[in-house]
Amino acid sequence: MNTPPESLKQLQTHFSEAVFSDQRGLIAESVTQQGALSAEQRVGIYRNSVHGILWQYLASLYPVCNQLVGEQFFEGFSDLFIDQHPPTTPFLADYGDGFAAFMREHEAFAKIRWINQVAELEWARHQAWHATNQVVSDFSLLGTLTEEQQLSAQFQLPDSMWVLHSPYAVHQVWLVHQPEDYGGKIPLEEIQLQQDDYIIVWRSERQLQQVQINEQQWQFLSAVRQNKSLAELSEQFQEQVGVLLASAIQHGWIISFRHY
Amino acid sequence: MSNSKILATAAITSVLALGLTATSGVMAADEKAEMEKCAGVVKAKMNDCGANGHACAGMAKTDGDANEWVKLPKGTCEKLVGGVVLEG
Repeated sequence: MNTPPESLKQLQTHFSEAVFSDQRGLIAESVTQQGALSAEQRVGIYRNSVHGILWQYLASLYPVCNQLVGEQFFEGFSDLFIDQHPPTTPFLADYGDGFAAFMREHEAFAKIRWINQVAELEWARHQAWHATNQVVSDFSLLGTLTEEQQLSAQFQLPDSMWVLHSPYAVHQVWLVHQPEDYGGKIPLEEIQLQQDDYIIVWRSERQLQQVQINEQQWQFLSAVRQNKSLAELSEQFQEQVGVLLASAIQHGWIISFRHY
Repeated sequence: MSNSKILATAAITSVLALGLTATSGVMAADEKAEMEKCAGVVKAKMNDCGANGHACAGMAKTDGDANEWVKLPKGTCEKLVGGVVLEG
């Protein structure tokens, strides 16, 4: 493959700068003025177009955050994010990572930290949707293992699974902003915002699932994610390990196992 | 037998009591059926990919939109009311 000439590389760099910042002067030198619009204004059309697409995309990724802060603020904030975090891959579904972290660092959210936690939940939902399918183990084969193999068994969560903990009631906040009639929805004014929330998000075939779990279930799934063996899980969770494991497998939170 | 071993054995028994086998419907990659794109039969938010001016799977706004599609095993689409097989 030939290396592009330096002038083309420069042209691309200047164009990218014009799209993802207000620096339009350099690229404008390469653009012909025509009609009533100046060269800079003509380049500005591209900037507005790219920003418009990415802003709409972010709004579709973070619909609850969009409602919480209002469309006008969301659009302005998205503009800031897009300029500082332009896309780095040609796959649009990759875009939007870091939006929650960007919120966390921005002073506008200093007193409403819970909103970036909602953004993290929405990002988890997006990622879960795009995760690949996996083969499910035949768990009846656990019965054919030797005692040593059973003790060494490690269990796997679906690749799509996100195990989240928030100091805020983000599941209820998310729920109340859904147009659909989900079960367990309570009015916004009745939500006690400052309470620990343990949530899992995963995709089961073509259904995105989002469930509140208790602290022990969260600890168990976190330990499974750390590849702890059944012996280690038994040590940590004692008499509860049987219920926790069987329940996780039954719900599809654990889909396979391996042993040594 | 140590306490952990007893607990682990009991845990395996609990799992076996569920009576599960690998029939949960997730296919291995090499078992995938030949698929085709089927339009006109997708529920809102259940579409596979970009169309209708949106970029993403799961963004179809209405049920049965003629421009929204979902991948189905080949031969299924023509059996559905409103189903239209898309090329490519």
